[in-house]
Amino acid sequence: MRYWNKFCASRVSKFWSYGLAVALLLSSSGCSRRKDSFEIKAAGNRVGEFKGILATNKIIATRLFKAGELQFALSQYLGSETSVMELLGIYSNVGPLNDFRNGTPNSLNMLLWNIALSGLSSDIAESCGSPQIVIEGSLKIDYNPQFAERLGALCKGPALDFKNEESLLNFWWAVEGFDAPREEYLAWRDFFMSPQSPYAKAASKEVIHAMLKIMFLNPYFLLEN
Amino acid sequence: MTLYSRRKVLKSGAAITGGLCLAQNRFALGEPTKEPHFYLQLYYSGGFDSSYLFDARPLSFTAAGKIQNYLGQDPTPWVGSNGQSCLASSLVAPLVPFREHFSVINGVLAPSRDDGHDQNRNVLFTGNSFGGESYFPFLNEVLTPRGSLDFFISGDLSVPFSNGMSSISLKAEGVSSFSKLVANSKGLSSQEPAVDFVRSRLQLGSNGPGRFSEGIRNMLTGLNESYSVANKFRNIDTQLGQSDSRILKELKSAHKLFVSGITNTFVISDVSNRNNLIDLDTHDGESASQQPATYAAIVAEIAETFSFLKSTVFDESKGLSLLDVTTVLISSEFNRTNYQEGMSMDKTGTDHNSLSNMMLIGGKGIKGGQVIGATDLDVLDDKGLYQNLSKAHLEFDPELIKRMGKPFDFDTMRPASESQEDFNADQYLTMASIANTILKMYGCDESKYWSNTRNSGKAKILSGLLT
Repeated sequence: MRYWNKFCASRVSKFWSYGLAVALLLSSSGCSRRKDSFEIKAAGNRVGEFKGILATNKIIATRLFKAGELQFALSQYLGSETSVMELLGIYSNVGPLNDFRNGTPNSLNMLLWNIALSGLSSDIAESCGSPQIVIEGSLKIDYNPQFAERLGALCKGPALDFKNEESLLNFWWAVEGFDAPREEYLAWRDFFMSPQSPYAKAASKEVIHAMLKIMFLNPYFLLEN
Repeated sequence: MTLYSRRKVLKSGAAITGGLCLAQNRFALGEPTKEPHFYLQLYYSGGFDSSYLFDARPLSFTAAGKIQNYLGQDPTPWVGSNGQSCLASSLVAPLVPFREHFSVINGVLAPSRDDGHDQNRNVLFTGNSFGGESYFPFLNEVLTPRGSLDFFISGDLSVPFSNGMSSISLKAEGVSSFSKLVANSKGLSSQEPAVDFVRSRLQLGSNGPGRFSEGIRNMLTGLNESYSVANKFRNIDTQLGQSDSRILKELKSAHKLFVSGITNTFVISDVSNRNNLIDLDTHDGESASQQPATYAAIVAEIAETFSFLKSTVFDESKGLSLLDVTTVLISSEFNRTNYQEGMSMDKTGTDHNSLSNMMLIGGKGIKGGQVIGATDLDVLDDKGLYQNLSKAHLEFDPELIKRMGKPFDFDTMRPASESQEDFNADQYLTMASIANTILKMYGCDESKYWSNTRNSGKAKILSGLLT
């Protein structure tokens, strides 16, 4: 728990400092009211819907992979038909007709998220000890140094040793960021660290695959809230 | 002797009344139908010019400067089995072999009289210009077994549906590609401990009242059902006939999804536009002049649809074809005006006309071969002036370029003989009546029925349309 508190303390203070500066800047420019009301409306309209394929892809790419020429694309796990990708939630049309489609979770898009995120989790787990992921057996993309370090710490194992809570917390933060509340982390941690965990005797790669899959399928990660 | 207090009596009375109401409601709902019943809708965006289909006018009208006719042929009467008739263009000839399988509905009016494509598309699918509840999920609700997806849309359809959680948009190629993806996916097990944990977290988060909790509930339901959907997709044939027409590919896709239990309702949107046919939104004369070819192609697609449904065996032991178990609705969002104001008859385009829509409805549950409803601007006097115009028409269309649905007598299923002094949408054929007729056919609860306006009651049923 102290790791969580320490982690939060450093980030929260930074967050408020930056937040205050931005708020002052916006209010001094006289645009705060209009911007706020627009943002509230836009976010409020889509609460409970998927963030969508592009937004989720961007989150994963930013948190896990090195910024560079080769871009990560979740669609690489979804075959060649682009319309399949659209089922994960996407803005369509332009101007007044612009709307977000397929944002409501259903059996088909949950199946697709499951396929795509399982595939990604599996490739990451398989990459243990390597600074890069190999997607679908051929495409290599470098992790960003922070994620590579945190993944590496778990890959060294034993991943489920209680003494490694710091590694678990760091791994959680690397993937989930500020998206999910603390209770989600605690439940995730306890699930894997409990002696009764179905993964208690599993190999590191299997555990990492499960850890990632659970984090990716967390509603705070996938849904607008 | 036991004395009952007033409180006890009231409580018992309330319980009995409540019980009776529930029972009545249960009977009204009826048992879910176990007979297979699919619903197929062909939607053509842009606005049908029904004068090239089942609501034509004689060439003498064109000569009098009342309506364009780039076909240059006189229409002929299309006489329905109910004794009603309409004038049909010669382009509909390929539909003659199927005439007993569908009924023509003319003069379906949009009560709001908005003239935009989007508003009228929304009315067609939700009964409201701004979008809202679709009736498709209600059809699925009463079926046993229910389709995994409430409805399935092939092609683009920008309608803001407020219900139908499990609806998606995927063309035939997408269905094939998706099936292959699912078939090749590894490690998808509903028994996976990680997935069990995800379920338990979703269950916890789904108990709240807000929209985020609703989203979590949807995720949980979706996740639980996704494994069964995966199995259904794994089992469908992913082959596409490369030489098949666009419509045939979509129909085969619909058939696969119907029989696999993935969905019971399939909407094919904009088949022709994806065939690179000319746009139906023919505002300019050049586009309008292409209409004979456009509507010939559309009629060919409709004929191909009925041919496919009729020739596809659904249940050999019972002698049922796919058409026997599928209700079909074909329409655009509205019809088009007779001409564009200020343009000569040989160079004119056409504009939007929400005072009338032409639909074809057929298949399971529908009494085919009929002609239902009619439009005005159908009688000219010796001086070339329209006769029998209603006050409503003169108010809504003083230029007299929009054929308007005639008031309709729902008891006799014929256009009303007396014209209405004041406009009342409930006395016209509207999409609400069509939707309610379909809901009635499925045995859906009357609370799901549409109204024509916010202040009116439920729109009347077209009982003569049902078998």
